Amino acid sequence: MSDLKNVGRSIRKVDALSIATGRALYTDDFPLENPLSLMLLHSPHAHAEIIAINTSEAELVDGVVDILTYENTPHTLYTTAGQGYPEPSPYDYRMFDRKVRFIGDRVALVAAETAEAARKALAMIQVKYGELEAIFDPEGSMEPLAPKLHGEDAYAPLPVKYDPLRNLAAEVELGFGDMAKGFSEADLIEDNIYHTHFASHCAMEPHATKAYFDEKGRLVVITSTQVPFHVRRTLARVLDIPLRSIRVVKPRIGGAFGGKQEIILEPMAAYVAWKHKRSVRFVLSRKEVFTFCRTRHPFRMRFRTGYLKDGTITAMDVDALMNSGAYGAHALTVLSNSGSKMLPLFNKIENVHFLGRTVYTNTPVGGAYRGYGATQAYFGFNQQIDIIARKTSQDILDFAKKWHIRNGETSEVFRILGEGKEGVEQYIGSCGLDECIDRGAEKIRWYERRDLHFSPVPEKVRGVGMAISMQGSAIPLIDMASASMKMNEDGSFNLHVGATDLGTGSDTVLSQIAAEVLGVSPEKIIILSSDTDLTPFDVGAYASSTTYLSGKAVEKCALNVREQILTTASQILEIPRDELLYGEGRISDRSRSTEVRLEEVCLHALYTKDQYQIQSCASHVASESPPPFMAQFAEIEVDTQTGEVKVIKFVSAVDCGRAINPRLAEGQVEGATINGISYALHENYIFSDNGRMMNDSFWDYKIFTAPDIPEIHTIIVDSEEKTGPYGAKSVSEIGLNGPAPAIANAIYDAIGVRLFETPFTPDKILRELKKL
Amino acid sequence: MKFDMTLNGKNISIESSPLRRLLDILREDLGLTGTKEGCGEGECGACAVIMDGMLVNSCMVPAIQLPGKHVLTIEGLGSPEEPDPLQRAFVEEGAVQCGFCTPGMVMASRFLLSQNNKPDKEQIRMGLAGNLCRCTGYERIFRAVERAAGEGYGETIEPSFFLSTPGSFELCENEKNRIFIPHSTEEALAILKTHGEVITLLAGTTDIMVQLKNGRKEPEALMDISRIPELSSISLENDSLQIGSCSTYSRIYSNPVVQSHFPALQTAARLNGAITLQNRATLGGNLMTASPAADMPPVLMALGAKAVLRSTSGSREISITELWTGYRTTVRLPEEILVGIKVPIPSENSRQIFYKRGSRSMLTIARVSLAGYIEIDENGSILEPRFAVGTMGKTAFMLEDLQNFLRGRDLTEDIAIKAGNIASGSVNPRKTPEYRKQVTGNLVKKFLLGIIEERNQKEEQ
Ligand SMILES: Cc1cc2nc3c(=O)[nH]c(=O)nc-3n(C[C@H](O)[C@H](O)[C@H](O)COP(=O)(O)OP(=O)(O)OC[C@H]3O[C@@H](n4cnc5c(N)ncnc54)[C@H](O)[C@@H]3O)c2cc1C
Ligand code: FES
Ligand code: FES
Repeated sequence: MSDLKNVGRSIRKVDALSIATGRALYTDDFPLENPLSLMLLHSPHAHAEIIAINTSEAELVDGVVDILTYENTPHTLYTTAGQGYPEPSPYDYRMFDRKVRFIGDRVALVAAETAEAARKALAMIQVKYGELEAIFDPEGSMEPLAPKLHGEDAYAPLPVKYDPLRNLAAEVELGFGDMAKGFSEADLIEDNIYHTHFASHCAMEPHATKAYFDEKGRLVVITSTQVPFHVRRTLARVLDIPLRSIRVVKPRIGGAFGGKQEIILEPMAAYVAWKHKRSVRFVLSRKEVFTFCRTRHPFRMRFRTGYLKDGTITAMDVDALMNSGAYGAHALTVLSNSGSKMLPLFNKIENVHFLGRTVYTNTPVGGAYRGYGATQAYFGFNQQIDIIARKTSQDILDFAKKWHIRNGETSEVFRILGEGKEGVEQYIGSCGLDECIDRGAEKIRWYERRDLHFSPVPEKVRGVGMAISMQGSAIPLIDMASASMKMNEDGSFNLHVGATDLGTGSDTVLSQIAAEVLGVSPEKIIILSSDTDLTPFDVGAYASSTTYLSGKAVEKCALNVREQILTTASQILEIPRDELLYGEGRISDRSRSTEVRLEEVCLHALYTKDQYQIQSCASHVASESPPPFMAQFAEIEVDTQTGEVKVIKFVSAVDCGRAINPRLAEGQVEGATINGISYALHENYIFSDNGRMMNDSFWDYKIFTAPDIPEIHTIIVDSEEKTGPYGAKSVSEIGLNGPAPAIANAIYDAIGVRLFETPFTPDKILRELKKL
Repeated sequence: MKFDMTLNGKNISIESSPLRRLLDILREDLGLTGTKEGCGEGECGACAVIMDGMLVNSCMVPAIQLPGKHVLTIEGLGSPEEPDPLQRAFVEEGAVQCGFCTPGMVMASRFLLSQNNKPDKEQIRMGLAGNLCRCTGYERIFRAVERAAGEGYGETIEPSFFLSTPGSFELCENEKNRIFIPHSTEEALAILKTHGEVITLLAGTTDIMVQLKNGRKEPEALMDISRIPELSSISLENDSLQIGSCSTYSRIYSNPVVQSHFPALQTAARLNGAITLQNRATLGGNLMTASPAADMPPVLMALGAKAVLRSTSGSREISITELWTGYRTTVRLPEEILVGIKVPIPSENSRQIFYKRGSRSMLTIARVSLAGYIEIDENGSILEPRFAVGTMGKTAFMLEDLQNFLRGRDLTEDIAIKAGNIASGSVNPRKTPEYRKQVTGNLVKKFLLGIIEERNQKEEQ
């Protein structure tokens, strides 16, 4: 396929110029006429009943139009998870509730003419709380006497295990082989518990929603969302208004990373707009994004691995406990993913058991976050294999190569574990992991660094570590994407996709795919994405689905259009369809002596005879979810005096199938990698004893800045995934999986300290060093 | 209030309340939505613009300081049809993902290139330290800046000599006697004499604007002291350096005397936030905020500085150690202004250091900050040891025990190690005590051992 003209090229992002010149519009940039300002009152208690709420004084504040509380809003139960229908997450959430379940939970909303009035009114709302005992520790959450967060009315729309009366938000269990046999055969058992912590997505654009009424009286919701169609469906249900009266528009999005899959602001914004027939503006502060929006679910994962002295793994038992926080957004699916995206990687282990539980606690709510459970799982997994490789005197690189899944192979796990139901059997059609390992190792100079405890100055020691991982590409037999397309007289094409570009560049990648099929330059593709009135359905941007799934829908759609072009050209040229050549911007006979340009084809179709619009639409559902693979390598330096860990160099080698746009693919890997390093070293939620997040600003919640960036290298290993558009798989999430374990393994390599808990802050390092 | 200013080269008139943020004026009043809000607290740089040739965060700039200013926003650079070469470089290098950080990044890059047209990688990183990006991992942004630099972008930026124009303004009825913009210290002191009790002073506003956002009540009356030339001057007089209270960090660390004689002060000024902040934040603001986590107090304590306070009745000079009375309180009287500080020029035989250990290189409020100063006489014994720490009490404080231990002793490795232990024992922070004690000790040790090593190396030569 070396004759590809558009695919595989790093063309400019289609929206980059308008962004770089400050013209692109994000949600809060849309001018609205006299919008009401919406502001939330948040709970100061981790667990409490609202005994009384008095808004009468607040309502008297000049400019206040309405105050919403549980008393005057719909009580429909739903989930904020922003997933397909029916959602695999429990319905345990209402627009407002009598009960508050974490510090920062919503209590009331003020709608006022100005932000000042809203702020003033907020301070005047009187709430009488009946404090309840709170539970913060997921370990104790299922104890019989532990306080319960949700009542009997909460329910799971899918037939899955859900027991709110035990604080159990989800449970997944799977196994195959014979565990007893596996462990009895083992010479050694490695039994460790790993903890990963809370983290915030920190998209630079805070969550924002605006709504107004168009001239036909329909409600238009402009919102920073990953899932416009799920937003529309959820709004119709929660507000009990006809779906047809709602239009959801996704403008430019200032980053999302999973955090904007959640449907948090939209119901409140739409409700106020609908009730008062007014336009509204609802933008969260950074503090609210930290405390009220979603986080990465913290995990406790126990790995018990039985193995022989030669390193043969005889059994793997994983016990996962996931903290869902106060609500069950993604409670089941992140949990499932922690098994289904990890266990198949070492598919040669014969005896496997996985038990996962998600529990409620009175802490901030977990949600989708780039990596989606796989990141948490691979933290333990990769340290576990590093430990075993060391104990059996093997190079971890060889060890990994011996055990990982390969082309043509499968894993029981694919079949058993899906999202809220059984999985889908699949055989790996492309796996470049060996090459990822080799090329990554070369770049980091593995064999010149490993086990050397190199010390450039007395108090500093260096080490290297590796981590491997896989992800998926869309949810098989569940996710659907579609595209529609029509041709214009100048040989350009309107491409309408439901797919949601969050800044990831999917508009560009999808344009490239369409351009490739249609033999035009990408400028000829006019893409419009994510507008529920104008574009066909797409589940949205999650599960690493956009390039693989929406890309395939675009490919199919463009192929239909191409067919129509050929048919029309055949009429014009009076040459049989089969004898035509589809060239760049033109159709010709085989000898290229007669030809017709695309413009003429369209003109002919529109104006000449038996007129019709060259157009098509197509949908795509994937029957499998081919995993991208990655090997990541860290070289770090520990300062044994201060405990600081510095990443010197980081290498990510990825097999993402064919990269439709290599530069964008690299950008995805780099962004995820830096997020992962930042997560491994600094980012964390620090709580007070009563459950308040104390570091709720960038001031105290440190994300990586320019001076922190180590030398990073991204290697794209070519492979060809037959089921994907032009051989592509996904790339956007996987880069987050490796940094924490690769760095942990490197720290061990440097100073012999094992860190079973993220983040690797200086105080922890010093504490562990003291123990040596 | 009503005033004129220059925006993207055009003169415009603005009507605004005095504390309204430049960011809101741009986005809401003028419809220039290219400038973004990512935090509203000076930490992300999404709102960065160039004001009078300096990069600032527009969420930190109140209207009261805008009369007569020249502001350049992303819209003033280029358009999609005719992008500025820097904007083009961002596009070509793939430095734009979601793009929410991009306008601020472009402005920061422009400012960097206006100051330094061929920055190296390290300088680029530092120049962009105040601008967060969650999507790109920064690498491609560095390349965009390198590309623009390579194309000679920096040379095309006309050096802008913005005279501090007084900038005319008009106050509304209810602002009279509440809003003051004096142009001399005398004028300011006269106002304070009558209205001192109710007036809040505004310098770089990087503390105040954050406090206001977090619910601090709007002050009854305001006085902008940033336009008083005397307060921004830095001068050498009688063996001491006098630094006006309104000197910004960037002015402090660019000052030649600071560079040659006060490396600790220079380090502290450079480590204080990032460029956007350093261009605004002032020394006086840092001292008068009286935060225990502030960087300048320990440095100035270790350097033996004096604070100069003035009112219409005269000036008083006090040791900097006496400036603070407790958590966020100072000895300043309502009618006084901190005009500046005086730091004695250190002797040839002295060494000084400022260390700050936080969890990130930039934009970090110290978890451990330590400043140290010692003089060594020709016999190798220690004179004048001064050590101060921040972040570990209600105010910064000096490590008396350590000083007493070191005074008069010969500096040896053994002494350095013992000194480290004493330092560990003299701090007792409430949070993460073990770690911070240990690090404090390690840093003292590191400083002293460094001096010994330097001495040994000299002797070898
Ligand atoms: C993102 C960010 C990062 C920061 N990082 C750091 C850091 O790393 N280290 C650090 O120490 N600080 C840091 N700060 C805090 C702040 O920037 C500094 O304290 C700064 O020096 C304050 O100066 P200012 O001129 O902006 O103060 P302003 O906000 O203008 O004033 C602060 C206070 O001092 C009073 N005041 C100002 N000048 C005088 C005067 N001449 N006489 C009497 N009173 C006066 C004001 O009335 C006010 O109460 C940071 C702030 C932000 C927003
Ligand atoms: S909005 Fe973040 S610095 Fe101004
Ligand atoms: S491109 Fe998204 S924050 Fe920088």
